[in-house]
Amino acid sequence: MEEKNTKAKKKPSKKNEFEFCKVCRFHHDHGPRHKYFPRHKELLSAFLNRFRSKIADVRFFLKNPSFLRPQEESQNRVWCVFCDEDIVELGSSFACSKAINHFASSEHHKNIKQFLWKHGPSMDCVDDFKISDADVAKWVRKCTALGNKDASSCTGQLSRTSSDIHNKFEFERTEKVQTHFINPNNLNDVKPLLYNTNEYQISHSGVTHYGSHLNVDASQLAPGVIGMTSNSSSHSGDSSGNVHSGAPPPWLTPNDGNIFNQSEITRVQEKIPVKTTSKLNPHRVGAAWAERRKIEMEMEKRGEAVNSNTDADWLPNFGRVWQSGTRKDSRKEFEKEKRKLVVTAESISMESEEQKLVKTESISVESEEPVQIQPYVSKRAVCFTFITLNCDDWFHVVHYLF
Amino acid sequence: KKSSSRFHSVWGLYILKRQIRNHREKMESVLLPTLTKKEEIDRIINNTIDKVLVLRFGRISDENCLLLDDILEKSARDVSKFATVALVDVDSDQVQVYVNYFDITLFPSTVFFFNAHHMKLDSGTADHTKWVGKFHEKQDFIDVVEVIFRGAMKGKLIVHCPLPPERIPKYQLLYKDV
Repeated sequence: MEEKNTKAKKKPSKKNEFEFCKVCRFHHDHGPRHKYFPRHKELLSAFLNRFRSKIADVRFFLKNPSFLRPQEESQNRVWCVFCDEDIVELGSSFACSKAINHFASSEHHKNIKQFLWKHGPSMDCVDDFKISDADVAKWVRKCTALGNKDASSCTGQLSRTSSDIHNKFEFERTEKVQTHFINPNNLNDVKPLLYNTNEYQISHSGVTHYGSHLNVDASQLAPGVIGMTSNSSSHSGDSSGNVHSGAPPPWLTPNDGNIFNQSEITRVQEKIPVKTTSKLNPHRVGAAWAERRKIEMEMEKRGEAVNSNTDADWLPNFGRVWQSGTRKDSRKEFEKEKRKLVVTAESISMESEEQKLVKTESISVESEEPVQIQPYVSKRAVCFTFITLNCDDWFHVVHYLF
Repeated sequence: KKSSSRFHSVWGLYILKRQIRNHREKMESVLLPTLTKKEEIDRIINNTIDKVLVLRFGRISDENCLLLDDILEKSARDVSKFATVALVDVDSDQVQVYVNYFDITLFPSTVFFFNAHHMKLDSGTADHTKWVGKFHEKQDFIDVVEVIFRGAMKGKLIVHCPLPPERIPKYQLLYKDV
């Protein structure tokens, strides 16, 4: 009975489908037992610790709300591990405001629970990743207090932002600003890069750029910016208007100023040569000869002096039928034969060409040793006859002795 | 045997007539160049770069040669991207140098070159340096040329013939008329 029980307990392990464990970052077919494995537990604790530190940063801002300057927006992004989404502080006036709101939301709570149910053996650390509503309320109150305090400095900020020449749209919308706090841009679409980004990147090495901002032309930067030459400012002088005068940028003017019209595109495309990348195998037969010949032909085309390619005695690389050895050897042998033929042909009187050919052939045959045709006898046959002969003699001798 | 030879001669004549008719009707047929001088052969060998050069040595009076020529002419266009075909008239005097150099004793013989290097073809016969006789059909010729091209591009000087042995003409190779 006990044996049966143990046997029944020892079920063959179920073949689970392969799943991807986000924490361990690999595929496994252990199924739901995976989360109890010690390795997974270790990785999970490390994983959660990392996220805890991020939340700690956000909590800092929860206690000390501060303004979020547009330049620092990109630095303020958080990836929420449980919800699998990126929280970008677009258009928020206070640091981490969106993150705080997100962490307080009920959806986030649900996701935390789901995550821990799937990956974590225990569900006790849920509160670490939540921000309670009370805290959020406190934070909001602090924010408004801050806001009121800085009402007076609002204009200062305005002027500050208006001198932010990188921010074109803000510049245009200064009149439209209603709130104290400026939303630089709410554009989510990304415009294509129209100018060379090199100068842009150099100038913005220290300052973060706006994700959805257009590229800034070098001419619009102040001359004092690092890495820029004063050349650029001279170029912009000719244009009808520039940033300082508040003119719209050239790529926004309809059609005429628009660089990306069809003709340009086709021109650019034409310029890119359609190279048939058919590089011939350098190890192919006669590659070196082919390259040399191509160069020679090009020279001929250009009309340069052509060196005599082939004289009357040129012969191609050929391996003859009855020669063994390299092809050079066969060519040499042929030339030797030819010389012999010439010599013998001169000695004979002039006859019809066919006869001459026949004769030269026959003479060439005769000049060499006559080929002796013998019947083929194998080695074994020779040995056998020898042995049989020997044996007979031996028998005779033996017979004689005894 | 007699009947077969008669049939072949009749067939050869038929081919000739058809060719003439075709030329008269000016159908699109690429005339293969016929070479009669050593300089011409040298020139064509030197000017064919990165393509297989097929040189047929034969005489027009021969039936086998006519059949072979027919196949060559028809498939010349198909292989034109990687091969050039030329005919050499063996009865011309200046060409005899090559006839001797290439050890051509049986006609028609086809010799293959790539980048002025001679390409050998192992078809199970005694002579690997050339193709002796005619091809059974166009596709056989195209296959052989393709195999040669592929081998040459890989750097092989000798390639194995893709044809089954029944399609390869058999012949006896004699050493100095022995």
